[in-house]
Amino acid sequence: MLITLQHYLVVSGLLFSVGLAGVIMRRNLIVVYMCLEMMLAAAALALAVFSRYNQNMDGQVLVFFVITVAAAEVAVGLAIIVSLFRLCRTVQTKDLTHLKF
Amino acid sequence: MNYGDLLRAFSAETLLVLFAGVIAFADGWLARKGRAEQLRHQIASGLLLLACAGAGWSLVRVTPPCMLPDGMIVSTDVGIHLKGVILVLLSFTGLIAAGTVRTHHIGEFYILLILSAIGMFVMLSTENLLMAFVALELASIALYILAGFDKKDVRSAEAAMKYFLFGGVAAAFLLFGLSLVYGLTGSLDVRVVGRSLSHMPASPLLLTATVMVMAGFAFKIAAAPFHLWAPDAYEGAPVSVAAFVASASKVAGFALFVKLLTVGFPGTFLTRNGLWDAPSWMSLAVLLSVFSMIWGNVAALKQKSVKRLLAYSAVAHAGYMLIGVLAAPKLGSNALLYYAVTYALATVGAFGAVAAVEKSCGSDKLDAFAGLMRRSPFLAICMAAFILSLAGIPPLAGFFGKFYLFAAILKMDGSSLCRFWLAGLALATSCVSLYYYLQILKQVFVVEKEDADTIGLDTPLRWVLGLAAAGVLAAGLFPEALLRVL
Repeated sequence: MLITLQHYLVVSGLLFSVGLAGVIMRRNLIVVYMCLEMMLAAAALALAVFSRYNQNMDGQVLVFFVITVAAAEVAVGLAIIVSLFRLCRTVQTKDLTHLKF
Repeated sequence: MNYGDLLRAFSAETLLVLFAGVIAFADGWLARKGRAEQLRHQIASGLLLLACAGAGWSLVRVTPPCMLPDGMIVSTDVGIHLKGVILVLLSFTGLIAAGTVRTHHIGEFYILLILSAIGMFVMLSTENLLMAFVALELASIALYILAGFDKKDVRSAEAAMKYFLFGGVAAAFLLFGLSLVYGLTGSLDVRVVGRSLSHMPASPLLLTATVMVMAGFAFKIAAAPFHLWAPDAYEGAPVSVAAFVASASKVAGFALFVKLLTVGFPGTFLTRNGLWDAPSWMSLAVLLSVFSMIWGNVAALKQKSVKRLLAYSAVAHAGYMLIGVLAAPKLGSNALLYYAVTYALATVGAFGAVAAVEKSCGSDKLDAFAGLMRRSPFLAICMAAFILSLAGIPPLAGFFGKFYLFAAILKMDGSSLCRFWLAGLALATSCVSLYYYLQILKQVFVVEKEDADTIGLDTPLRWVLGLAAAGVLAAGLFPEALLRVL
């Protein structure tokens, strides 16, 4: 079977949707982070595929930047989790209720 | 273009980075010497002011209009003026922070503010999807850290967490949309993207791309129904950070997105009949605008915390500014930018006033503002200027901002976008907003408080409030001067 652009795009779309569903539905902040990373990975996959399809390197260069940004983002995110955990001893989304009117 | 020209084009950013290094070095040295935190605050914020002055000087004197290949950097006059506005907001934020931020990591706080401002600088001068994404993330990631800077306060950590999660999802949406755009057009240069998209038939892929880019956009500017992070982030974050998020990142965000949308998505249609006969991003922007104006204003009515109230009013103002985005392709973006700049000035001032009150009474609830006129007349009058400008009362800047925006949407031709309804709704919701703005002023001027102690303002905060109030008044008295440079 020939693997075409469509196949890649379906996989990328699925990855993105699974990631989004995870961000919305999962209760553990660390799992939510992993799902967030999955959404970025889906975009990176689409970029790499399109780069090949369009016959230029712009997309692949952007993928490198995306990976770097994702790494920076997760470093900051984990630091925020640590700081939250130190104060309220939990990483569950349902316990984030200190800010309400 | 050789490297010398490149350095000149980036002179302001380079200076800011250098000063960030100087702040790190100086603060580290003072901390090792065991100097008092107040002294470290003063020195770091003084260096920040110096950095802003230096960068401002280099914007005026050194930066030539330049253009890198692929639209990586396109510096225009409007971009340079907006960078000046960002510098002003940055220095105001630094001065507010000097008296109010509780942290041991003093140097880092100012460095992160500077890094975030550099991200905004690049946002203002790029027309390339790669640079736009990286700049947006540079600005945002620094702000996530800043929002969680008060490490003793669980609310600050929670604000940072929510801001981070929503910002991360927004970045993913935006990136996925941009990757589809790249796939359709084969280029990351916004101008090339615009040229190829303008004669491309509507396709599911293009619609998905548009929807995703708009969703990411709406998250970043806190337009309803994607605004849920804003009230929590504004309330929990240190006040100076909230001021910076509400002002500078809004100005840079709107400037970037109006550029992306008007140049990059000129005409992709949802359907070709009747009401929605407009580029599809416009139809989405109308929906976002309507939601934001109604939701923001109605939710603000019942807030007790002034920071939350300002956050919901920010959602409503995002709705008004989206009207300016709609008018931008036909009439240019200066009405929008005038609104954004004057809104930013009034907001940074209002947050400065909240910082002063919170520092003296430890609360930002409405009743903490009771009898403010008696406790500190200067603070009360400045607060009145900011709040009335946000409400859109002449002769303050907010009135002319609203006037130009509503005039711009009415000037658009054709029956597209139901423009009369939109302008009518904007007017009606502005009237609703008067209620909660006057609610604050009622506390300040009318309600008396028995055990009222006077509020002492430290000098930097006094300058920030005075200058911001003067700016709001001047921009309202001479709107043409500001409109001409935007």
